[in-house]
Amino acid sequence: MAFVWARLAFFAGIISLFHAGYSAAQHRAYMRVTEQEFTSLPTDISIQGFLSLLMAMYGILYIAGDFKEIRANVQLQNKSWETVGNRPTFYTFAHRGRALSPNYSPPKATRSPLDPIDSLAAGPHHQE
Amino acid sequence: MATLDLDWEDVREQLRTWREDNTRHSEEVVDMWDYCLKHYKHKLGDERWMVEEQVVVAGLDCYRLDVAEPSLVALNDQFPGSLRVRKLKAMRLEALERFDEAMDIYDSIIRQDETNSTARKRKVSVLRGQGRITEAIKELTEYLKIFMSDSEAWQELCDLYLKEADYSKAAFCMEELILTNPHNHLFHTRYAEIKYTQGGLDNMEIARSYFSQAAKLNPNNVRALYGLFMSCTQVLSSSKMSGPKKKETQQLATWALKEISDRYSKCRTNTMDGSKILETFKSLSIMDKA
Amino acid sequence: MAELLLDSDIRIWVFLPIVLITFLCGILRHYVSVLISTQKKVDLTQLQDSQAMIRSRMLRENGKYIPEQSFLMRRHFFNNDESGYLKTVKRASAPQPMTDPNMMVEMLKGQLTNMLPMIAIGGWINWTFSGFVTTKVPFPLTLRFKPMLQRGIELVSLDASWVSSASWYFLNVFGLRSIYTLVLGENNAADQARIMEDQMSGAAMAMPQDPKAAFKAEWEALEIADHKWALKDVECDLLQKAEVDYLVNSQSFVNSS
Repeated sequence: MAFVWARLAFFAGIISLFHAGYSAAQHRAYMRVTEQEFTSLPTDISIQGFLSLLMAMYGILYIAGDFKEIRANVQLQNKSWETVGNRPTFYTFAHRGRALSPNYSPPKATRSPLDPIDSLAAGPHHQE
Repeated sequence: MATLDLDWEDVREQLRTWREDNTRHSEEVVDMWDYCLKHYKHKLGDERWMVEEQVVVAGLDCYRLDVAEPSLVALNDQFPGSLRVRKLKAMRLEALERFDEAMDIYDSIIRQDETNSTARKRKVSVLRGQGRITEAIKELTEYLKIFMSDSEAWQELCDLYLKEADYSKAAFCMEELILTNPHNHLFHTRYAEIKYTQGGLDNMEIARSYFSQAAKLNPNNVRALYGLFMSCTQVLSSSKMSGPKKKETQQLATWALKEISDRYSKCRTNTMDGSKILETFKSLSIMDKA
Repeated sequence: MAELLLDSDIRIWVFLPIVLITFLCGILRHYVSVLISTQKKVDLTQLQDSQAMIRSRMLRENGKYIPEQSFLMRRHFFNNDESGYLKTVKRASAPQPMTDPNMMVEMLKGQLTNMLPMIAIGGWINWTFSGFVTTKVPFPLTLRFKPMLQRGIELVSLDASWVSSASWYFLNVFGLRSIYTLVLGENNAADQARIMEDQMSGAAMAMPQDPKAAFKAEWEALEIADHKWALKDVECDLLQKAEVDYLVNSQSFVNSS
C-alpha cells in the first residue's frame, strides 16, 4: 500500500514539476509579448516547483528500494558458514549424498555421446 | 507437488540469487529446473546458459544425471569447443567416478590455456574425491604458489589441512582469509576454533581474542560466544596470571555465558526449547566457580 | 532579433538522418571491433606477479588483524634479503611497445576501427549535409560558442544558440555514450568520446606496468609497514560495550516500570 502511495507521489510530483516548468516558460513568453521587463518568477510557480520537487524526492526514496547498511559487516551478519564456506569450484561429487539420488547405482563403464572424443582415441576404458 | 505452481520468473530470480551468493542448494536447483524452469528455457534469453551451467553442476552434485545431461548436451551444442563446457564434461566424469579420464581432460585444458585456474582447482578436487588428501594438498600448494590471492583456494587448503589434523598450517590458511576480509566474523570464529583445538596457553589466549573479535563484529554469533566462554575457562584453569587480568577474563566468561543464556531463554518454539540447554549451562557455570 | 522558422524538411532530411547515421555507425563499429579484436592473452608470470602484489598489499592493509608472529612470518616471506619473494623473483623490465609486433597489430586494429570511420563519416556528413541550420539549444549562449555550434555557417547575425549540421554531427558523436551503454551494455567499443580520452591521456598509461619497479615499490612499502595488533584490547572493548549495554537496558527497564 505504501508502495502505491509512493508511486503516486512520485508521478504527481514529476507531472507537477513539468507543469511548473511549463508555466515558467509561458510566463516568460507572456512577458516578452507584452514587452515587460523580466525580473523574477511569480511566487506561486516557484513554490509549486519546490513543493513538487520535494514530493518527487519523497516518492523516489520509497520506489528505489531498500537502503543498504553503511557499516560493512552488517551484510555479513546474516551469513552462515554454510554460504561463506561454500566453494563452488572445489565441489567433489563423491559424497554420500548421491546415494539418495533415485538413479544412483555404482558406476559402470558405459559409453555415451557426451564423452569427449580425445579420450575415445585412447581406447575403451574399464573401471576396475 | 508444490513447485508446479511456481512462477517461472520467481524461480529465475531465486536461481540468480543463489548463483550470485555462491550457495549450494543443489537439490532445490534441480527440483526447480525439473518442475518449472525447464519448460520456459526459451524465455530466458542469454541467461539460459548460465542457468544450464548451474543446473549441470547441481545435477551432478545430487547425482541426477537425468537432469544434468540434457543441459550439458545443450551447452555443448551452443558452445562447441568451449573450455568451460569441457570442464563441465570432465565434472560429469568425476561424478561417474571415472577420475583418470577427468584428470586427462583437465590436463588438456591447462595445456591449452595455462592461466585457466578452474581446471587446476578441479584437479585438486579430483584428488580429494578419491580420498588422496595429501596429494590434493600438494597440488593445491603448487596452485597457490601461482594464484596467491585466491581466497577460495586458501579456504580449501585450510579444510584439507584440518582433515589431516595439521592445525598450525590450517591456522596459517585461515589467517590468509582474515587478511582478505578482516570484517568477516565467520573467519575470526573459525580461526579461533583452530587455535583452540591446537591448545596450549598462548594459542588459547589468541583464541580468546579472536572469539571476542567475532562476537564484537556480530553480537549474534552464538558459536563465538560459546567459544569465548570455553576459551576463557581454559585460560583461567591453566594459568597463574595476575589479579586484574584474571578478573577481566572471569568477567568475560560470565558475560558470554549470560549472553548465551539470554538468547536461549528467548527462543522457545515447538521444535527447539532453550531451557534444556540452559540447564546444561547452569551446570557448566557451577563447574566454573568450583 | 528576428525569429527564425526552420523548414520541417530539414528535420526529416537532415536532423534525423544525422542522428541515425551516427548511432548506426557506433553500433557497426562496436561489432566490427568485436569481430577483429583478439582476446588478450594473459601471461602466467604476469598473473602470478599481480596476485603476489595483491597479497602483499592485503598484508600491509589488513596485517593488523592477524597475530604479530603471523605477520612477521609473511613479511619475511616477501621481504627477506636472501629468500624473500619480492627480492628473489627476477622479472625483465617492461617490454618496449614498439618492438612487439603483436602490439603493433593491436594498435593498427584500433586505428582501423576508430580513426578511419570517424574521418570518413565526418567528411561525408560535412559534404552532404553542409550549410544547414538544424536545431536550436533551448538556452541563450554567448558569442564564444559560435565556432563550436555553428561550424560551416559563417553568419555574424545568427544567434549563438542555433546549431549547424556539422556541429550537430559532433554533438551526436560525443553525446550518444549513454545510449550506447543502454543498447550494447557497458564497455562497448562504440563510444568515440572514450576512445578519444584514451588517446589523449593514454600514451603513458597504456604502457604495460613494469613488474620490477612495482616489486621494488611494494618491497619498500612492506618494509616500513609495522604491526599493531588490532585485537590487543578487544576483550576490554567487549566488556565495556557489555557494561554500556547493561546500563542502557537497566535504564530503560527503570523508565518503563
